[in-house]
Amino acid sequence: MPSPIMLILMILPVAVAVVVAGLRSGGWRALLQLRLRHRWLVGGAAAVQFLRLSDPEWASVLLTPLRGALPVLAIWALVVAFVLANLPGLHRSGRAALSVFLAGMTMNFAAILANGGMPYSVPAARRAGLSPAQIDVEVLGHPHLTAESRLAPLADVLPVPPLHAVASVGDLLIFGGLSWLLISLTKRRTPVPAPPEPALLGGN
Amino acid sequence: MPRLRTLWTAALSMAAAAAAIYLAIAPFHDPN
Repeated sequence: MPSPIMLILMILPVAVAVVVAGLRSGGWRALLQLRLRHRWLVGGAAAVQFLRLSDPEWASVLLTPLRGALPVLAIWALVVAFVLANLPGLHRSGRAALSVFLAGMTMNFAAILANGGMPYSVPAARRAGLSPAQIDVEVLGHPHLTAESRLAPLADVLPVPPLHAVASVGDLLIFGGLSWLLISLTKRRTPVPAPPEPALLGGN
Repeated sequence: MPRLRTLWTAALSMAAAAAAIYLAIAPFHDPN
């Protein structure tokens, strides 16, 4: 079950898009044209995440390789495939929005691969309102950001006090990209005119 | 019921978009 913070992040872009659609003439009708294909790829990624969280003994063969990075790599690959499969069917601004999402996800993935986990800034965590006890406990997969950390600008360095969380630039791009996609879909678009009928051959 | 089908497809697509946000952020930040 996603945490309350994650639920807010998941629902907010959809809620904002519905509100924006209500404010725009024909917005809801336009939003209902949303057709994201190959949704099974997201289902597959969700199944891998469910396996990681439930961690059954029989799945250790799949979950432990590369210090646990193999299933994360699989999730990344499935979501990237989902985004790439949907790029061609979208208008230009939708494609740009999904590219931003993709860039954010890849930035997070790069920071984790380089550090064996997503490092977070202790001063940023303090500014976000995390207690000293929460910060002192070193969590596996969430090391403190130090001078030795690689790709430090891509780590969790941005405090988000209302959520008591620390985010990365990649997180902002992921959230912003999908919000942009949904909001851009509320805009009524002029249909592309159909090409003229080919002239009949062999006429009189 | 083409209208119901349209609504259903849009709802599934939005659910997939919301799940994609979770799957893009959560696995990279949890302690596993």
